[in-house]
Amino acid sequence: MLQALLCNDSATRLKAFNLLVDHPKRSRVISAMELRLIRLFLITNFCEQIPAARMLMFKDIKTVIRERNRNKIMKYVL
Amino acid sequence: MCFKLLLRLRESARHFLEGEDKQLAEKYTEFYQFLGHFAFWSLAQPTSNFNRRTMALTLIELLMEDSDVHKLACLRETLLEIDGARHAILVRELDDAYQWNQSKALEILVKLNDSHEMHHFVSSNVYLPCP
Repeated sequence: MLQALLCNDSATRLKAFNLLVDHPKRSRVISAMELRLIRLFLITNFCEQIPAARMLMFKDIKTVIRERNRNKIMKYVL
Repeated sequence: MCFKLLLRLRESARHFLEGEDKQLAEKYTEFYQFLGHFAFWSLAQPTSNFNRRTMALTLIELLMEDSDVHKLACLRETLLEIDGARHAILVRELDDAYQWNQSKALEILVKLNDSHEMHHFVSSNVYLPCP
């Protein structure tokens, strides 16, 4: 996964990120390790040149922020 | 006897899972904080290009959009009770060469409309978002 996230090919990186973030079961929590990988991806890909790729990235970030882990964390963080 | 043991096992499993959830919540809070800090850091970099600034502004907007996320303590610190330096970064974006970035920065500042400077910018009508 790490190699795919740091691959030279932009499409491969995006697909790896999508694989990391997306899951058919939205309630499945993202582990601490996965969060670290997401951070790594964001740091290395924040200057993405292609607008379509940027949109795809944001779609996945939205998924992380809005849907995943929500039920688990809200009772502790609020 | 067996039933009591089962109950105790279940109780300890529940405590363990709650501990795990709490740890995860902390990690997730840390992640939210990272997103906020990273977005502002990206905006503040003098070498940031259009793509980076656009991504940063979109990320800030995304973090602010979600009403549930607004309630998170970490984001209240990073976004809603925005400090002077971060506010200045957003205000500086109003002078961005790209209109899209200007309008995004203005939208964000309008949402944080408790600032005195913001009222000045909006009332002056100089930086209206492009249609």
